[in-house]
Amino acid sequence: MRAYVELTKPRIIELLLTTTVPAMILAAEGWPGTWLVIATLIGGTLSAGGANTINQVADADIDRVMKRTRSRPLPTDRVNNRNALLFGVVLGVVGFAWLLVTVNLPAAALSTLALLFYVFVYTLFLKRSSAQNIVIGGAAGAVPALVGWAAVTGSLAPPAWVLFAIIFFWTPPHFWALSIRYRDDYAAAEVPMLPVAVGVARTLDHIVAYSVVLVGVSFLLIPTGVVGLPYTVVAVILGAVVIGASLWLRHNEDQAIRYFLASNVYLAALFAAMAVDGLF
Amino acid sequence: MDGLRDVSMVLAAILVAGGCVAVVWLEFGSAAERRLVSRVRDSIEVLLPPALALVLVWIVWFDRI
Repeated sequence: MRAYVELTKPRIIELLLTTTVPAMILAAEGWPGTWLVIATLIGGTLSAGGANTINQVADADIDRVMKRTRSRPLPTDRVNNRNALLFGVVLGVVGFAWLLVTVNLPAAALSTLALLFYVFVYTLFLKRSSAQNIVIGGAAGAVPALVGWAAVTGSLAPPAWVLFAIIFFWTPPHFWALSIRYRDDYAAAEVPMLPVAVGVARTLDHIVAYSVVLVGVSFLLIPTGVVGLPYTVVAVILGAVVIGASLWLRHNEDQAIRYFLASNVYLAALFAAMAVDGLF
Repeated sequence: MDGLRDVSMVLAAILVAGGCVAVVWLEFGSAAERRLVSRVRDSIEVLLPPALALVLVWIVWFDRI
């Protein structure tokens, strides 16, 4: 049982859901209703869990090679590929059905689209063939914000796309920092993450450039009118910190994992500020 | 409040545009990266995110008018 839970990558799901609730609050211009939030989170968890499980089936050969991932359920044979694939597909189908019945069709469709994009575009197409793998593939992780918005309004508006863009541009620097730390692992598995493809120094430059875009996109939420002064203050402070940290990392590449962890805090704090701003 | 929105819109546009120029420059401006963008597909993959970011700025800019 524990192995099946591990297959869903619960910690990644946690972060995805962190972005869903604030999106719902902004869309509703207040608390969207406890049942709707719970129903959306359950559906999002099922879909993301399905995507993560199928991803691990497709990447089982890579996970066996990499030190960071070789203790996962499939490389350690705690679950076989067939059962894992079945489990992932069932989660995805149940997630779609749950969102369709309890929330609405747009939320269900977006959630399933994210699953399919993650599996087919990122995992099977980009991951092993492109140094831009995490840039384009990161779109899948940004969809939960759209799901949250669509769950409340049944459609998508410019602020929803800004939320999507914040997560989209947050993803590359976040995972490039991780891949700097584990570049030997990725090289051994022949996964062309940016540090493997162009070297660490060049990757650090990309982290700075993407951090600047990220901060710009985070400011873009303010003119949409869904947030006010509290979010603005937090976005400015966090923006200064994230650009400063990316510049600092250029001279402290051995601290990449600290940047990776701090980056999680950045995203969570930014979305928490949105939620607070939207509620009060 | 409108002043705050105007200032943040301009700041956002400057940061996004500046960052996108830097991304494109990094990808196409060095010999190391040029090897990666030797195919049409690679070029599309590199240019797509900055292009989408600029489209989003454009959408928000005109949405608020």
